[in-house]
Amino acid sequence: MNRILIVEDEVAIARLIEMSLMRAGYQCEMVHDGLQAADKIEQTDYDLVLLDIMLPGLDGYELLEYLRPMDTSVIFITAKGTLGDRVKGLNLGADDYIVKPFEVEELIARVESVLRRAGKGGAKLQAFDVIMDTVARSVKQNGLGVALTPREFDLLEQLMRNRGAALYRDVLFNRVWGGEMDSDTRTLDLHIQRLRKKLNWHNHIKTVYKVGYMLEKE
Amino acid sequence: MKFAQKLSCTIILLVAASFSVGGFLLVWGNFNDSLDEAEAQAERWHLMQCYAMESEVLTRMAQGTEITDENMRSYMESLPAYESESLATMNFIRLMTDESEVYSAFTSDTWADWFPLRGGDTAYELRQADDRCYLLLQNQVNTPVKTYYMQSVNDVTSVFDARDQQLWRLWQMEAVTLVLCAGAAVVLSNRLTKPLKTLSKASTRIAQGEYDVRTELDTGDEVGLVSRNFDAMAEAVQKNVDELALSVRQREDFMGAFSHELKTPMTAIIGYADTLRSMQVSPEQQRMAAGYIFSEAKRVESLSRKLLMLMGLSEQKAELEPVPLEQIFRAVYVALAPVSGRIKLCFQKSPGVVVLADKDLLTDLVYNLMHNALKAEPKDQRIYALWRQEKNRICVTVADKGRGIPADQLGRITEPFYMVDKSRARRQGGSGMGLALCSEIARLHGTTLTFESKEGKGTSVSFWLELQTSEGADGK
Repeated sequence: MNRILIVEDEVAIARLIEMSLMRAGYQCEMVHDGLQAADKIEQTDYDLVLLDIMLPGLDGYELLEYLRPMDTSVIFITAKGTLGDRVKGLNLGADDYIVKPFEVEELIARVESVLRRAGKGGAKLQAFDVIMDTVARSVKQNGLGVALTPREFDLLEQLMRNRGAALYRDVLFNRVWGGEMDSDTRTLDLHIQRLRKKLNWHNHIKTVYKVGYMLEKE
Repeated sequence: MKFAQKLSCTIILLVAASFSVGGFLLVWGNFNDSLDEAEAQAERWHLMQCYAMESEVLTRMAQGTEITDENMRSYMESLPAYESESLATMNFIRLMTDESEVYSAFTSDTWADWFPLRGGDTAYELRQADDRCYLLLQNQVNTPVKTYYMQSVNDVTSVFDARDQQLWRLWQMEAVTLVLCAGAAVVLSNRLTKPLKTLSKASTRIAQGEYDVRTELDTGDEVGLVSRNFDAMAEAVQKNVDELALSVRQREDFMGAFSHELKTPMTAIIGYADTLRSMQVSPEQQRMAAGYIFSEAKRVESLSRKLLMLMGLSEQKAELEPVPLEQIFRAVYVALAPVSGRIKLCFQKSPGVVVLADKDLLTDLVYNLMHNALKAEPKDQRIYALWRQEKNRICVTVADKGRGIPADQLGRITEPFYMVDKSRARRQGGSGMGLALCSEIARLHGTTLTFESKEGKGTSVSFWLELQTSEGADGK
């Protein structure tokens, strides 16, 4: 499990990021100003730091200077979205640059990609006896490959990324197939059933009444 | 050619010309005088010889002695040697008859050729030979026996020598003078043109963008004046450029702050809403998400309202009308009392004080300032609204003994979105727009906000209002 530090003075956003990352299976801590962040970085070895630039105490650029000698990836999260700001951030050695307003999906994708590039995992999702490699797009159960169609793969990825949360049917459909779901379509339910069968996960993938589907936690 | 070089050359030429002309005139005058003198001397001597001879002839005739050429020659030979005077150093004499030479003291044969054998009464001529100058004189000496011609050659070379020497000295002096003068001219012209060089350098540097360059030449002449005017111009240019840069920076800051203020709540709203619409989360998380969506949306709403108000104010012209100050204070009290908690609101009594103001805007202004004072958490649990009269104006002051504003940030607090302590401001529901609005309202009332603050001691904000004059009151 990767340890991530969130440095963001806006509590609302910090908690949003924390909530989303924890659901995606990361271990998170958050601080709201630069000085606290420096203390935390000193005490703990993080895999990744999400840095706001405009911070009370020390600003993000100063913290980055401080972080650079360490083996810690850094992603800037900021409202400063001009090209000059991006270039400055990346030149200073940040691994990525996310401009507000961002969507949670995008944030998680970028966190994963940065961790993967740093060789700290990120490409693999695990649930029960199944390991999914999101880069190779392959799924293995107990070390044996499972053949999934692309849609099945995407659907499984959504479930594995949001373990423990009941996903709404229309959102799931939208994320996997794109577009609006017709009210009477059975496509989603058919794919869920096929997944349950292929993985023998009849108990793990739960149907939540009037909501949708959920992959239960271990 | 540079101006300094031109100036040097002109000075040198002028000095050389005037020195040469003056010197030449002087030498020439001297020479003329000397020559005249020498001529006069020679002539005097010559004539003396003539008269002496005439009187000798007459004396001899009276004694009955016969006048012959022989006698005359012996007479001439008996004459004492000429004692030279200063100028015409040597005189040589010859006596002639119409036919032949009677006596000659000439030392050169050519001299004799110079004279006309029989001329008029007097001959007078300057001749040169062998680098020497001679004055030739000839006079008739009439005796009852025959006519003699007295001829003399007077060496006046010394006069010319003196002239040549003077000229030589003049050239020497001129050469020395010119060298000195050239040195002085170069130094002088360099000194004179140095301010111009300074000006030229300064203007080049300004053209290259160094707007803080000044010449500051205090020469006390026209160049000094040009320098002063130049500096004034540079000052004006710098001021304009600075203002321009400031306004660009302010606009960039404003846009940056605005987008930050807008993007931050938008990120939270979109993020939480996305979570809520995607999945069923725990009831606590649901409540948290909904709570943040609500509060962040309120923040955007309040921000847009204040921004619109600010934009409206900057275009609007306030219509000022008489308003009793008491009424404003009361309105502020009513609005502020529910949120003031334990802090006491102290308004100075103001019976009969009527100010010229836009009632709603002024209420907003005082409300905002007092609300800020509340948020400064005054130690004595009191905030004050005070006023004092000065002629036909009053100064309204809102004061607190709260945490104060750091001195280095006092200048920026009226900028839109500027917050001294962002996280505290956020907690207290601020958006950084309050003082920007206040200063805009103050501007509409023809005044500005004056801040006095000490960190840890408190803050007071003052502005001036026009009082309703008695004539105005009569008119209503």
